[in-house]
This record gives sequence, C-alpha cells and structure tokens, in this order.
Amino acid sequence: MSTPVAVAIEEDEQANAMPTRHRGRTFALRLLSLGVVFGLWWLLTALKIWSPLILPAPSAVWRAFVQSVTTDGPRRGLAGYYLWEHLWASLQRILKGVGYAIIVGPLLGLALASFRWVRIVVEPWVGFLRALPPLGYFSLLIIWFGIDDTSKIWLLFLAAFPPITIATIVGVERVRTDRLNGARSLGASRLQVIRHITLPSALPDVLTGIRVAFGFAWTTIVAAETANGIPGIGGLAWATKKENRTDVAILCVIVIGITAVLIDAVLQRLEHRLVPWKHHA
Amino acid sequence: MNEANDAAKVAGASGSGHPLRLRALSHTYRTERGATHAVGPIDLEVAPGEFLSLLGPSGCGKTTLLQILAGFVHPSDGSVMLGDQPVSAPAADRGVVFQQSSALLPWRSVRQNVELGLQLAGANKAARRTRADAELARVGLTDFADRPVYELSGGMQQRVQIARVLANDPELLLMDEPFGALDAMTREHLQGELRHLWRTTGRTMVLITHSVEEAVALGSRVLVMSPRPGRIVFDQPSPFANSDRPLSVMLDDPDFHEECRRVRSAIEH
Ligand SMILES: Nc1ncnc2c1ncn2[C@@H]1O[C@H](COP(=O)(O)OP(=O)(O)OP(=O)(O)O)[C@@H](O)[C@H]1O
Ligand SMILES: [Mg+2]
Repeated sequence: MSTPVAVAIEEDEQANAMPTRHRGRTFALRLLSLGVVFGLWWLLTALKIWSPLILPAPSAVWRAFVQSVTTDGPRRGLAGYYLWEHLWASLQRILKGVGYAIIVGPLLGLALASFRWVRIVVEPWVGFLRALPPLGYFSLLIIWFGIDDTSKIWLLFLAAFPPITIATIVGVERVRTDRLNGARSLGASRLQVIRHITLPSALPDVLTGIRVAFGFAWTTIVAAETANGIPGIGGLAWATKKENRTDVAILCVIVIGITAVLIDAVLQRLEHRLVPWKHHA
Repeated sequence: MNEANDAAKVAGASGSGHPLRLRALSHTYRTERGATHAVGPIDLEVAPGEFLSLLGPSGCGKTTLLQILAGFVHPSDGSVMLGDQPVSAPAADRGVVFQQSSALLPWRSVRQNVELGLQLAGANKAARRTRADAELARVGLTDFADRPVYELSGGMQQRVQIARVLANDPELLLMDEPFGALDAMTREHLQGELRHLWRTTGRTMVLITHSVEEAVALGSRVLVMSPRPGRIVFDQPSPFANSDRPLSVMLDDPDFHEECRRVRSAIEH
C-alpha cells in the first residue's frame, strides 16, 4: 500500500484514532500559529524592510479584498468580475469535471476489481494517466477541445477519476471474505452480492478517493486557469503578474487555500453522514 | 430465553430435514508455495436433527471441512450430499455463523441484517419484518432491533448472526467457533441459548469448537479430528445435549468429567 490513495486511506484512519481530548489543544495550537504568522507579516511590513511590491501590508490585501467585492466607477470587482464570481466559476468547473469522475470512477473501479481481463487491459492506462501531471497534457486538450471550458473540464475529469478508480479497487478488494460468503449462504446471487455487499462495503474507500480527487482537481484547476481563466480564481491570480498586483496575488492565495480546506471539510461532513459505520467496518 | 420466545418457536419449526452424507471427502489446497493436504479422506453420515460437535488440534482442517459443507470451498476429492442434492455452492439451505461478526453489514440495523436472506429471496416488507422480529425475539434482541449492529456487544452481534441465519430457515446450521472471541460469561450464556435453539427448532447443527466441555455439553454427537490431514478419529454420541443443567453445573458431574476426559485423550492421540 504505497499509492497516494492508499496513503490517504491510512492517514485518514489514523487521524480518526486521535482521542477527542487532544483535539481542543490541537485547535488552540493551530490558532496560535496562525496568529504568529499574521503578526510576523504585519511586523515585517511595518518595518518596511521590503518594498510593498514584494510584500504588501495586511491592510493592502484587505483593500484588494474590498475592491474585489465592490464597484467603483468603471471598475467592477477585479478583472471585471466580483470575487465570488471568480470563485464560483472555478467551483463550477471543478464540480463538472469531478462530477463526471464520480460517475465513471467507481464504475470503472468495480469493473477492474471484478474482471481479471478488464484489469489486465485497462489498469496500466489508469496508472499511466495518474502518474502524469495534468498540465503536461493540457495543451493537447486545448488543441482537441478549444480554449474554453470544455478542455478544462476534460482536464479535471482526467485528473480526478484515476484516484477514485484506484480507491474503489482498494475498497472492493478489502471486503471481508466472511461477509461475501455469509451473503452467498443466505442465498445471494452474484449480482446481489455486488449490490448488497460489495458496493456498500467499498463506499468508505470510494468517498476517500473522491476527497483525494477533489483536492487534486482543485490544485489542477487553479493552474489550468492560466489559459483563458477569467472569470476564475486561478485566472485572477495569474492576471496579477502583468500589473504587479502583489496584494491581489496574496488575496488569491488566501482564498484558494481557504476554499480547499472548506471543500475537504464539507466532504468529510458528508462522509460522516453517509458512512457513519466507517470505523466499525 | 423466556416465555415470549415460544411464539417465535412456531415460526422456525419446520419438518425433518435431509441426511448429510460425506463420501471419501478430501481436500488439498494448491498454492504457488505448494500443496497442503488439509482434510480427509472423511466418510460421515449425519441424520437430520443431530447436533455435531467438531473438535481437533489447530490446523487439522476443521474450518476447511465446514467451508466445504457450506459450499465456499470445492473439495478436491469425494462428495457431499444433502439428501439427494450434491453440495457444490453456497445456498440458503445451509446457514453459516462466523467467528467474527464482521460478516454482518454495519450500514444496516439489527433488524435489516436479520431480514437480509428474506430480502434476497424477494419476500415482501411485511413478511420480512414479521419473521425478523420473531427471530430477534427468539435470541432476546427485540429491544435492539433498530440499532446499528456496531453499537451491540460482541455477544449480541453473534446472536444477530444466529438470528439472521435462522430467519432463512436453513436445514443445516454451520458454526465455526461462534463463541471463540467472547468472554467466559457471555459464552456460557450463549451456549445455553444455542442448546435451547437446537431443541426448539430441531435443526441439524455443526459446531466447531476448541472447548472440549462445550463440545460435550452441547453436541448430541462429538467428533474429533486427527492432526492434518484431518480424519475422524473419534465419533460418539453424547448424552448431555438433552440435559437442562447449565454448563457450569455440569462441570460438577463426574460422568461429564469422564466423558470430557475420554474426548480429550482422543484429541491428544
Ligand atoms: N486458503 C488456504 N490456502 C492454503 N492453505 C490453507 C488455506 N486455508 C487453510 N489452509 C491450510 O489448511 C490446513 C487446515 O486449515 P484449517 O483452517 O481448516 O484448520 P482448522 O482446523 O480450522 O484450524 P484452527 O483450529 O486453527 O482454526 C492448515 O494447514 C492451513 O494452513
Ligand atoms: Mg478454523
């Protein structure tokens, strides 16, 4: 077990083994570290060690944020769109791309885990695709599907489905033999075993794969929006370099980071809802 | 077990089943690392309604034999017949209780777990529920029907396993150390329940155990297997299966002790 997905599954199991009494202290320490970083940032800029072009003050980033959500004469938000419009454009792309991957990934994983010959033929390609940095084949996709959203959604799909497929295979393969045999001796047909035993048993791992895929797709989309990415939070971040808007660049980094954390938090919530038995399986 | 369970009794009581016949049964596992002759040859005939206790040293092939009877493992030699039907795959007429309750489905409630077999057979909701509730009453889990299985203790989970198998009305109940992972008190309690179940349902049962006392107290017939490849080296009826005394009381009975001693010496030879 050394693939990123397998590692994610294991880390996940360890994280949840943490006793609740440590959680409060962990949270306090993290808050403290955030405060220290902010303080340091403020101090460095107050001392005017570097020009604001290299490191703008927190207040400058705040002003960039205000600009990004307001209109002032001909200026509407930043780069013609409000901040939430940029963010929503990126989120829509990721929801579409990963959405298709959530349909294809588990089905392909199930087929790969169930039929030896499918696996022999298809698995190397999934592995190959997963090993490629998505931006490596992005220009190909642009040539095939154009510069608009279609190529970006293809990119996200291709980036997102391999981790889901691989997690599904892991999940199907670790279904307990006793559980499968038990259902068969209760009269289950092959199809009934898949529907009533294999799929639900593998669901926790599939959901972990989906979380990995979202994380990966988010880093990918932000980078992919360097090509015709306005509106888009990655596109906005990229556009700042022309006008040396360091303040906007930092604003984007913060927004992108917080969004990534929030996406993961939402998915974890969903996971607790859907598979409350996860740590009892 | 109490009076409330007498109603449940009716639901499970069906007529006599078929005899189980093993002919020159033998199994060899073949892996990349070589062949392991695990059991056999075994010839055995089990009458309907018998309670077979199966003992033997670790690794002698008890689980292998049970898995062949269940249809999970295909024997490399010989045959198993239930009545005039050859046993070749798992089917609803042979229920299995596993040592680990991970065989249960954690995303289902206790009742839904017990309903699984009926659901697979296409029974309607009302019929499923009635039957499942009757079996849950029989094993004393009525109050836990709506709980997720993982909230139950190990002993209760084993009772859920027994209930889900009984709900399917199998001819044969196969149990591989079902109480092996439980503490002594729970174990003794479930032994009493199992004996009661055997008497009220009249099912043919096969129980694998490492406890000589459990085997002698519960089985109407005690079998001992030799070290691998496992063959039957001891096969005797046991009079204690029909006793009403709990196991702890039986331990004071010199006859019981004598019987256990004989069985134990068969294992050690
Ligand atoms: N799937 C398998 N592949 C290869 N060899 C196996 C397999 N299952 C069991 N064996 C071998 O067959 C022999 C009998 O195993 P089995 O599990 O039936 O013994 P057992 O009597 O149930 O032991 P225990 O009392 O420890 O549960 C052992 O030597 C074991 O190593
Ligand atoms: Mg065994």
